[in-house]
Amino acid sequence: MSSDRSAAEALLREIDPELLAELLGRELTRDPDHPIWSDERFLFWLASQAREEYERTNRLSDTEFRRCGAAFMARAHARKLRVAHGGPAVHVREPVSAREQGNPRPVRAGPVPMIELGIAAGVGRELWDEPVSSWVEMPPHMPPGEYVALKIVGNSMAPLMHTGDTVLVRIGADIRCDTVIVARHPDDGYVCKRVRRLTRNVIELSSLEPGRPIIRIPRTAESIVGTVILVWCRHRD
Amino acid sequence: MTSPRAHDQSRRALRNLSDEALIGAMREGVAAAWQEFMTRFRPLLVRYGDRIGMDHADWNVCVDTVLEEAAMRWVDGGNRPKNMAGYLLRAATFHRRSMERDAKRRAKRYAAAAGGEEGEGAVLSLCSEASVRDSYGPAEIGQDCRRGALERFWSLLGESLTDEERSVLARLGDGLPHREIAAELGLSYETGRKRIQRLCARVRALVPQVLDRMNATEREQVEQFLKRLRPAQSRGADDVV
Repeated sequence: MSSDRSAAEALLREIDPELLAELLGRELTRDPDHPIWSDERFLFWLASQAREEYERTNRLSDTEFRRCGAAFMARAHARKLRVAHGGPAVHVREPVSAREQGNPRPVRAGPVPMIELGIAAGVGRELWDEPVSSWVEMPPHMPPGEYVALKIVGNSMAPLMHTGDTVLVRIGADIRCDTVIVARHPDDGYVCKRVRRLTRNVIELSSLEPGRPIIRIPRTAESIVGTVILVWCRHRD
Repeated sequence: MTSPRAHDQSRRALRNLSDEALIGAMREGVAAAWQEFMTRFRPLLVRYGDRIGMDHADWNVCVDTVLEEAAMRWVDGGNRPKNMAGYLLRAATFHRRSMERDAKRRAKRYAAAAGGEEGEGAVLSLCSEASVRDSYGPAEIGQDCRRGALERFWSLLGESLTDEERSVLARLGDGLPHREIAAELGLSYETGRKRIQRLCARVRALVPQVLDRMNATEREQVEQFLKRLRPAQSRGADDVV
């Protein structure tokens, strides 16, 4: 049975796409709107041919295969949640103007202060009471606004962010659905979650990892720190 | 710890899954299933691009965009077509055409700007409405509505509007479409549209009393702003609301 199948597959491999199109009663053309390009049987055959060729030239080990899958998953989530996804953050020296300030302040331009408060586990601590641990370079072409960088603790937002990643947060209570925000949970300190639903008085936050509970917090300016617009992820090259 | 053999078997098992079952595995967050999705459809799309003579760099951008968007939509429970490969080919082709149309439109604007327009007009003609809006950033939306005469207008409207209603009005004043405002409020488009219409009607009813208490210059500025709150049908057909 298996030899029959492999013989059939070997035979299929030798078939020319023009000939197969002809067998299916179509003509293979360069016209993207031609019906051959929506024929399920032809596409199945073409996909298997293209895949074989791709796998011959790109041999991935199982580990690489999973790593590429995780990277694709992260890119897809980042696109949906409108979060830019970059490599590791570039740390820079503390600017002279910041040396005289005590507590950290969000900045509009130049190096961004990074606060090492675990934003998924900072119970009972005030964000602006924490010292600035380091400064990271602001990426070019950012929209105007006040920014601060924060360190992520926990993997509830995997594959988009992992423990140790840094996020760039634009300060402001102006939020919308399907974005990632940093909010203050009345009991659990600061959390970084996806905005699942907004009502007049309540914000529903969810994690990206399946099975995590939904968090509901009051929709007030005090409970929202800002919107995450970039993730510096160490898992991305 | 699982053995390398076991990994190989699970990879083979993913390869034998139907498209529907593969989406199910992706929904569970299996990284290998996502790569299997990529390996299943990307080479097909690339080969299709070669066949119909697409530019490689542009086509690869279209392919990656379409694959990422489709994967997320299907994983989130969106409608899945029976013929996924056919759907992805069509989606990538439409995306490419849309990119071409945008490029042509940009080129036309550049040509018009180079042909004599000057200053701010030329800059605005080169930038799309969306990019102008993006350059303000959400924190800045409605800032012009809070200046000078408009600030006084807000204060005269007083407590008859809530903070949220004022923020909706500011967004309307900035020309944001109803659909985007509804999305920001976390409402469906229909609910958001009705709420906005009711709010506009209320403001229109309040306006005469408020304008009576303002001087001529202030009134002129406020009237400019109020023009943006008129119902869609009374404005040009090109307005996006």
